[in-house]
Amino acid sequence: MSKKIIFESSEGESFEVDEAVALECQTIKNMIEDDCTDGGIPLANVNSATLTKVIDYCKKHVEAAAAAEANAGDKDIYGANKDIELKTWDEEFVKVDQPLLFDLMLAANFLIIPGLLDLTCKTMMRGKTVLQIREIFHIKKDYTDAEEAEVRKENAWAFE
Amino acid sequence: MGSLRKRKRSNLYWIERRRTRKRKVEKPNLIDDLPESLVLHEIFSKLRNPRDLVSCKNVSKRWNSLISSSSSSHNNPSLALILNTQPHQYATNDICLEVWKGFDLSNYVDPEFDPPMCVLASCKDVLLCMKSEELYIVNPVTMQWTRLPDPCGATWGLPIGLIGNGTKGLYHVVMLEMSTQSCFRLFSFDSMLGTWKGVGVQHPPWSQSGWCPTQYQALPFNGALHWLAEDGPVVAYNPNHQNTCLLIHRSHDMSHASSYCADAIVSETLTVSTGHLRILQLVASVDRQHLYIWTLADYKRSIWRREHDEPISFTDLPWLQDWTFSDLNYMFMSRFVTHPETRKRILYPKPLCCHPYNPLLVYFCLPESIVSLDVATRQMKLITTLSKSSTQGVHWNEYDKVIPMTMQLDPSLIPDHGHVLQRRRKHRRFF
Repeated sequence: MSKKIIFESSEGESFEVDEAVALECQTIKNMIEDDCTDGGIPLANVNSATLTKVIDYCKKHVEAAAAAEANAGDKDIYGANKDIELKTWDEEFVKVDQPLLFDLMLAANFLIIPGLLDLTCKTMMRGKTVLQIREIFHIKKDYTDAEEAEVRKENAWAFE
Repeated sequence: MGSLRKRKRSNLYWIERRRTRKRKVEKPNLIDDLPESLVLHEIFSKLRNPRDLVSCKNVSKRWNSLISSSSSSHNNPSLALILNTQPHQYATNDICLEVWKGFDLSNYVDPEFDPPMCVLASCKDVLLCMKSEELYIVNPVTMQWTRLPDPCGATWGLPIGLIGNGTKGLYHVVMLEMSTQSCFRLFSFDSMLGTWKGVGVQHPPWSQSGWCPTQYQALPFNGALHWLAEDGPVVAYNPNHQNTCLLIHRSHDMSHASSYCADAIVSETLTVSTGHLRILQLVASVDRQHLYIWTLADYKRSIWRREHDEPISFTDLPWLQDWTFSDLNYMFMSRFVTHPETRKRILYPKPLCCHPYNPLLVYFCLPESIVSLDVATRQMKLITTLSKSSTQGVHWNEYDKVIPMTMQLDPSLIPDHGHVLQRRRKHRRFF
């Protein structure tokens, strides 16, 4: 029976996970090593919806790593298809709305999950236009029209 | 500890702001509230598509300066392998990328460019493509393209190369028409003049007959196009120096007859990594296959150096155990076959290229897949699988099956690009 770790979301909801899954988070790993996880770990800046997703991600990656290890002996070139499967899973995983993606990124940053941080950062701006980015993040344009035209001119190909 | 506290506070601050957003009182600025070192740098450093980066630069002054200051991580171009593999009449393009996923030429294609289309050569991020016997220069990043005039008298299926100055948008396309003992003839297109012309190049003879390049694509490097002649020198031709060429001879231990046993089959590829020309040499003898990586240490004096002490053996790589190397006759067919007696699959790896920044990371084309081999750690990684039917493309022998291309932050320009590819809106995502 593996050891369980209890997370507590910002709403006060408890999540019980296997220690192996929790170890995916560098921050938690440090806490476990320092032996200060008794009575649960309160995560005041991660809400329940985000935490559920984060745990999903860690679980999937722990399972994938275990499966890869089990098959390491008789691996041929096509055994690596599993890597592609995992990548496809990751792609699906980040198909969420922008605020949740943003929360996930912050959680990954706070909990130090390098794979998830990488994944969310990559997805954040992909394929978006300037106007979309401004709208999504509510950024006010601080360029004057002339300045903006200048920057556009430098990279005219991107706006054709 | 200070930074941690700062981080927490900013996160809480942001969550509060978001709650107000839900009530639609005001529209707060989500991302600019973050301390810049925290996440913005992280995000920008992960962007690999130049198009996305340009969008971010245009968002605000702050983002522009942040991206400009963190651009060091974007100086290394990413490598794309373009596959000319489809069972159709001509090959179409599929891009398998190492770090830049989500980019596919067919997403950007003008109706005129609807597949089938075949990529013949590349020069940095610019591709030389052929469709219905017409040649195009295409930049798949900027989606600009131009069509070349018809090269009167030239036939297709010739070794070909593209070289140019991307910042000025000037290109040469060179086709190798024929070669004899001491000269070869080229067709050369100059984008400045907009015309083709024939060129004859004299050189000191090195063999009894004409020469054949080991791969169809000429490699642009150092202002010249380079072909590796089979068991011969590297032939370098600079289109600006009309009727001359430079021969870079091999060292004695690189030539086939002197170094390898008589019935060995050698397949070779010319590639560039970290600013040096390199030759990948795969030597297959009766029951083993070895890889050699040669580096042109001194371009002017033709000094080659082996990149590693021991030959790299393919035979004992764990992944390749259920393949056989034994019957060389089958290897000539250079495609996926099963040995008639042992029923084992016959492996014929073709070296493709080195990673532009790591000469010890070598890409191979196997019968059903593209893999990378890290010579230092002996780790093999699957890049992509090829469907079985795709091995029967028309260009299987005529043109190189995989064309490597590098993409950088400042894309190359295309001369007189009257045309821009339209982005196909397949999957629009809203938030």
